Amino acid sequence: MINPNNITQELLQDYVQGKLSQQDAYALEQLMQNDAMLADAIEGLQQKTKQPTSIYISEINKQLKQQLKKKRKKSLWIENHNYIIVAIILMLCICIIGYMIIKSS
Amino acid sequence: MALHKNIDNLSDADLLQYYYNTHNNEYLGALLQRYTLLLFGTCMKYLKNENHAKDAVQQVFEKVIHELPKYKVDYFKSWIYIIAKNYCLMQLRQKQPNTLQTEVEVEHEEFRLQDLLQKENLLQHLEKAIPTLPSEQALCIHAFYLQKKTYKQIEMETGFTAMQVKSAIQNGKRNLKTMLLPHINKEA
Repeated sequence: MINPNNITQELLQDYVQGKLSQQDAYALEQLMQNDAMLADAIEGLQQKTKQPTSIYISEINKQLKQQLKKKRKKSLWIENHNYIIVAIILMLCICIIGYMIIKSS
Repeated sequence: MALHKNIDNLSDADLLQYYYNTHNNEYLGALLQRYTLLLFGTCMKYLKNENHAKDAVQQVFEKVIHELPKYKVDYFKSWIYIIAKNYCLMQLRQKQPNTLQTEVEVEHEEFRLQDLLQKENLLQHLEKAIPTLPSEQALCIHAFYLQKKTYKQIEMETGFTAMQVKSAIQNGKRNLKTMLLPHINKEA
């Protein structure tokens, strides 16, 4: 029996390939009536593609890992260089204060 | 902070919460990968080309990675679906600025025939309304909702294509909504 909170990618692919039992196929089609994303996705997955869908999915997931790594590196750089930013601000403050003291004397 | 042991068993809401609490991208990665196929299918529906759909999913992921930390998202599935659909519609508008059909916007209405069927007193009106639909819509609505047949079974019995069955159910629902709205408002 299909769990509406756990529609797996395997289940969707089985439906598209006509491998689901009639009971499960009907349950999924009923869910599609109230779930626009599920209905859209199944309609899209029924279109013919040059290569099997699984190839595109694994390419996208591979790229996703790169996208997440890139973001992590960027945020790590900011974390690691926090002290440099603070030091620059401090030096600027000291220069301004020093300049004001010299000017007033 | 150590990664949760059973990351695959966490719900979407839990993964999201762990991500917000720890900013660990492993949680976000696990969550997004659950949606790769749904997003690819959605983008295929609108863009009708596997390479464009693949690019679109990557763009959607890029957007999510940058936008998610800025907002408190409660319903991740709805949120990511809207991002993907808007992205695809934008692509279509750029390609064919004057020819985009409004069909996609009205296609999925929040009309739940299922809920309606559970209301006893509306059943009578529904029974009367179904036969007044155009014949192919009445046939498909009756087979799907009352006889609980799958799309495939309806296709085989009627000789309609998959698209015709889906569209007959969709249009039938829309027409039934129009016919039953006065009764629904009365009940409310």
